[in-house]
Amino acid sequence: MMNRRWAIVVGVTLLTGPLAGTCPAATAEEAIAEAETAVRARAEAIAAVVALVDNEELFAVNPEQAAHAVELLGRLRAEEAVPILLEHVYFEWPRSMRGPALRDFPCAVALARIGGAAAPALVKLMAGDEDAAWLGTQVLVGIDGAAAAAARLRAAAAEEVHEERRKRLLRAAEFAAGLHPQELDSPGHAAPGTGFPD
Amino acid sequence: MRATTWFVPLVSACGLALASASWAVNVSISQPDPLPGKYPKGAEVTFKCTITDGGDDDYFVVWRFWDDGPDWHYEGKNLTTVTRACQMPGAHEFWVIVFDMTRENQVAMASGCFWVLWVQLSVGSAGTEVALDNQGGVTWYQATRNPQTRALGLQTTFKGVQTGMQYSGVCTPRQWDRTVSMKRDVSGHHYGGPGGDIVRDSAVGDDTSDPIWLDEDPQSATYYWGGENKSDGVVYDVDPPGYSVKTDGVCRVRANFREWAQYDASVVSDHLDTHCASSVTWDGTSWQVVHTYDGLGDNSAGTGWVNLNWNMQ
Repeated sequence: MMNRRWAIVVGVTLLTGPLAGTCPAATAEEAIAEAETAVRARAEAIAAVVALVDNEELFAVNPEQAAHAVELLGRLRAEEAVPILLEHVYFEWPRSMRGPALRDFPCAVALARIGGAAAPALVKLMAGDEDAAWLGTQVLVGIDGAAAAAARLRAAAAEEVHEERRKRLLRAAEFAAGLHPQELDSPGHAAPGTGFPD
Repeated sequence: MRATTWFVPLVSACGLALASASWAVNVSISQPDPLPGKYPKGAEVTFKCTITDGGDDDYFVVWRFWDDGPDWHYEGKNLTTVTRACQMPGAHEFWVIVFDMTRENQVAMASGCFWVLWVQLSVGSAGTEVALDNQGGVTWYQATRNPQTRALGLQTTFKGVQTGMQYSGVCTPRQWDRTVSMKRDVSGHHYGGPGGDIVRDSAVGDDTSDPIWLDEDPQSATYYWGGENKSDGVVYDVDPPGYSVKTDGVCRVRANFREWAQYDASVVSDHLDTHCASSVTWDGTSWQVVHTYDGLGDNSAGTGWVNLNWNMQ
């Protein structure tokens, strides 16, 4: 069996050998062209989705579609979308009776997916807005991990001249230090219920 | 022959095998391994020992499980395995005493220890604060506004208005050092509209908190409040049922909960039935509590269930 497999490998190599100078070059050109097309398509897709979500009404009238669009921006790692995502960072969907968590805020989740490129603007927002600290800290922990997020916030606090902003960042740093990164795709605990009586 | 007395081996360390000097017989605990064994209350556990004597003599073996229920004594010829249900919460010792077949001469002894877990649940809300050793309490503190507070009960938060409820689970034994999961089911509604009588959301089933609201490590330390605040055998779960929509007239929460603790797949607490009911309205500047149905349990959170209708009737 093994001998037969080797015979096939050797045979295929001998047959394709003479084409080695031409085939890979053609494949490389095709691959580059395909990649360029993909890059253009990605940029166009991001521009289209950013234009879609740059609309206050969408979040109020069709929150489900807004949440889907925002999710796509995160999955596309769309750094261009950071400002608009920060603008709607408190957008919560779906609304639930559960205690709030990062996954309930699609824009915050998208920022976490975008990663380090979102961090500087996020830290700036957190310094100026107490409300942003709760969500923003979790996003930073998602990006950096707890220790690095805390270090990032402390470093930002050290450079902050305004006392209230500095304190806000230090509190967020302490909060970050005790958090664990959250699973962005997880629906949360999949705990079996006890069969809650009606 | 010389009988080994009871008293000397009793001070031996867990798992230490002792052999009579005049008898080359040794007994050691082979299960649980490692010691102490850690089990939920009610778990069926097999304890094993190994007797070595260089020969193939028979022995009469006695097992004693101190302070773990009425079934504490087992004995038999070459009884090296005992399967029993862990009955009483706490840290327990057990002993294996090996006699020769005359049953008059103790020839070896070994001891081990095991922990049996049970968790006592309680809930706190208005009038109490999140515990300093509760990491999930930091999440609550961070969420509250104007000013940030550890106080539970109805509070303004970044999200809207929420009722902070802290579930505490005190482990027996207090030195329990493995994760205890806090689970919760819910049955409830959000109401809104001008009269607060229109159902906006409903929830039934699993309501287990997101990890940021939980502190399930009974020996964790929380540093947020300054210094080291150790849990010392207590686990926590914070739940903040509430309302976030400011443009919906009278906003009401009516929810009943059932909380319990789990270790692995085993339930290790009684069920704790609790509720949260609140009615608020946004006046353009702040949240105002609507007291119409306070006499029926509105604007309260704690133990017991309430009627889930908007008017609590």
